[in-house]
Amino acid sequence: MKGKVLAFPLTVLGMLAIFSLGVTLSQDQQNFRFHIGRLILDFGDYGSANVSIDDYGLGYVLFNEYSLDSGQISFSLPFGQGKGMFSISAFVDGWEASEGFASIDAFMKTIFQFVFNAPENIPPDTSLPNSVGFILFLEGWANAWGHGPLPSDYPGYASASGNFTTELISASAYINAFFPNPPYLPFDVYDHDPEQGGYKRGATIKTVDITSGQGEYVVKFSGSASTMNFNAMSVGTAYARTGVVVLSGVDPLGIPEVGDNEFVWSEGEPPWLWIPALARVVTGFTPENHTMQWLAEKIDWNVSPSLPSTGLYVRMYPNGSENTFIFPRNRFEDANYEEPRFRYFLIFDMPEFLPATIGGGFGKRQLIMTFNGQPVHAANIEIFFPATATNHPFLFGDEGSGNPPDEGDYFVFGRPLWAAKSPNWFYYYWIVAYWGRTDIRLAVNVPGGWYEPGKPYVYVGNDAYLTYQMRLFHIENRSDVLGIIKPLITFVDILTIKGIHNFIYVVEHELAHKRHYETGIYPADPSVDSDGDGLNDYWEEGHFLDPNSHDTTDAYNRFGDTTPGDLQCIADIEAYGKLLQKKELWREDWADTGLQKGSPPPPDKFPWEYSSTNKNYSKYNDLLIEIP
Amino acid sequence: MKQKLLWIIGGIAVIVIIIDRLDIGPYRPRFPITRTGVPYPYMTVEEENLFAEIRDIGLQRDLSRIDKVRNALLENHPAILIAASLTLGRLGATEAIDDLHALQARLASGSDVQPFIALALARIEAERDYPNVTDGSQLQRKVKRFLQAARVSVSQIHKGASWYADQLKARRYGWAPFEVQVLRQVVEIVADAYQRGMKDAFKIVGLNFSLDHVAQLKVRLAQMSKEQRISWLVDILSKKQVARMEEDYLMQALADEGEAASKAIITKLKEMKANRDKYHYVGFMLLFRTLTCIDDPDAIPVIQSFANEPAWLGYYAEQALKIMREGRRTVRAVDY
Repeated sequence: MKGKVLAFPLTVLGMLAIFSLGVTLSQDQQNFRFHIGRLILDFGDYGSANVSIDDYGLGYVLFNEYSLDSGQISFSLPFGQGKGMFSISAFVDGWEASEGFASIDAFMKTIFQFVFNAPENIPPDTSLPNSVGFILFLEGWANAWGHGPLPSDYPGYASASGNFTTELISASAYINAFFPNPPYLPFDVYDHDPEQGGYKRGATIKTVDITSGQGEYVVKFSGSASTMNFNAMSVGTAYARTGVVVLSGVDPLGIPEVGDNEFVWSEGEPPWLWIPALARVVTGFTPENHTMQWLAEKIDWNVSPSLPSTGLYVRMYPNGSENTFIFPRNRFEDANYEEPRFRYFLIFDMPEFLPATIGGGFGKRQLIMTFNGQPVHAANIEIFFPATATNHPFLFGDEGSGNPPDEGDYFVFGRPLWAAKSPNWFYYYWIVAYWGRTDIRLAVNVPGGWYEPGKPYVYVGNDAYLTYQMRLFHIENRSDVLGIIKPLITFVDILTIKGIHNFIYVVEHELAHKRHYETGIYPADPSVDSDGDGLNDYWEEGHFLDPNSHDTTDAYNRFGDTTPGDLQCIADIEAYGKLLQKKELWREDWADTGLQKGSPPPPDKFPWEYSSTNKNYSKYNDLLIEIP
Repeated sequence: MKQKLLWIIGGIAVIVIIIDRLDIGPYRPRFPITRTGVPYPYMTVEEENLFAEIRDIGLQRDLSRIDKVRNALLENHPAILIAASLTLGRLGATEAIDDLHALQARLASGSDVQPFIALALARIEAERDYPNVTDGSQLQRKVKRFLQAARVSVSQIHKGASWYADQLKARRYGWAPFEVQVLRQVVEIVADAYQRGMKDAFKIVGLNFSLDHVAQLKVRLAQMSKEQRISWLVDILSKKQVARMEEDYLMQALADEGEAASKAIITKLKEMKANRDKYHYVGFMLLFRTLTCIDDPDAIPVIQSFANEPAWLGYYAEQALKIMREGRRTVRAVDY
């Protein structure tokens, strides 16, 4: 009997601990600051309570991990330490046949702070994220319990209640029990809202404005617990907690313009695109398995504007296999604890080749997380094509012709011997910059680019998508021996270009050669070309080049180039003029080696850079854009 | 029917092989005649100086700096890769054979650099097998070994050189074909033997060096003393009235004489300034540009003294000064 008697208080204390889960929290200051890409998410808890204890025996009131005396108390867990848990409990131990009363009226707010870790050096026309969408969820329960009569000659009495209210859910439990005089054995009276072992749950979509760089969302809890007994024991408890689910599979506040959230179609045939989508459950507690399941069933994804696909879509759960959950390990006891998350793989696949056009499958998109079919948050992403792969479609169905953009010529001993499929960069750059131009052909295995006099087309070499330093010129005036001002073409600046700009430069440089040949600037008779640079002496004189020097500007042949410099100079001048007209096409450069990919240089060095200033503008405002 | 077709194809193949072995028919280059088109990218100061230094290492046969040359094979600029390949060939750098093969694999098959890698590999083989030629028969064997390794015949060289000479006459510039580059390397091999006292070296190898203007220049200069070379080159450049691609090789030959050449040019420029009317501005320009190949600070004030001259003369002086003030050393002919 005595053992049984001793067991009672231990049982009660154990139940008290269970009912008010929060009290078992370690006193160690936990750091719940979550870094999710550019999003930093913090919790802060702020609570206050009015407590009343009329204690003839042993009375306890707990508010989270705080044991209270009568009066008013308050506490705060600043950002980085909040947990989002509201736990109140009132208990009077009537074991000593005493009577007692304990009650608490409590209020708590949990503040979720969303901070945008914005990058520096943002390219022009970049729209920064101005809000974060997330799923707010709350769960909790209320419990009232009484036990009596305790061993004495008197009947017992107990009443207990617990309740809480939040914006999404509320719960309340109440008992009022009379325990007859012994010889009745002691018995228990319960009320639990909802049924014992269950939770009340609610979830909704919220959005926080972060235009200023950060924003907050406040979850309010209010509740009370009370107990009063005589020759009995009783506990009133209410427990609620909150957390959020955020899109984390890509950076939710990612800025693709600086290299975040970029994805590249695969290189093979058929090609596929893989976007890992994660929904991360961010809590200050270890979430229950059933809560995870309850949330997971409501989460879904889509990409907008849509991407072409045969419809593959793979969904996986935290343990890596479908339809089974592994309960997250305990965050307070397990050093290897990982935030619970819902893992998805969005796989887009094409039946044979990449989408035919830039707009069809590349460029800016949004990955959207939905909850119950409604959008929660849209993360900006960018989709690229693999530049050097050859898995683009055949645009004109003329396989074997070597025609652009589908194919190029493979050269053996300086002659085009067979047609080979062009790399993706040539295909898409041609579509963007030179649609319909069949006079622009690709040399599959020769770098650079060239024009062969008399031919109806120009060749673009196999490296015309990489980085290049092109020469720029202006006119400088010098007096001649008679004092007459003589304008002279002078090499003054270098422009570093890459991606589609290099492609445009190569094409325009070679098309300039073609034009010069077709308009007769290149003389057929070598005797009128003293310096052997391919230009007529009189023409050179009239256009401010030296007819006695093959490389007037000294900008070419000293770098190993074997084409006379003056010939290159006039082609470069015209190519620069044409390139300026097409400068904005960098916006359509979705090659994974191109101008939209990765982290670009600072905005004042983008999309190209002049060596005279190391910026995207030249020191010279009179650079030649056509032959003077 | 099928069998007949096979016989015809087989017959044609045999004829092609025979023609190839006997070297009958028109000129067929071992490598495609590299096309010219988009200019090689402009170089940074560091790249241009590396380019010049790598050439120096080869000319000076300076094995102590071989790592710098091997590292240069990792660069991207074609001219630097060509210079590094030629230098490794000149050094007979057997340890760099794998590096050269790696470069061969890295570059497109149609790259301008490919013939120079093949040239370097052939030269390395010849230098490895015959490091010190002491007599005529050894020299002949070394040249033969080089031609075998380069997989070109004497006849192909002569055809290639004639073809190239015709191209130049018609002002169709571009890289000299592989066979001509081989000829220029043979001149270097023979010139080495000549320097060792084998006075009939140029006669015993049985190649017509006069078919290529660069080979011819190299032969001529090899038979002069340093002073003679400098004096002749300064004189000939100063008298030029037009600068074609051929003059680039004269500038390079003079620049390769180093500081002594610079001093001679400075002296000549002072004399030319005093007798301004006797010289065309092109002569000045060629000497200015030669000075940009040599790191000689004494040259700057001399060129500066021409900066205010009218029209092209002042223009070219300013141009050379800009290069020198940027701390650049130029190369005028990488394949010289």
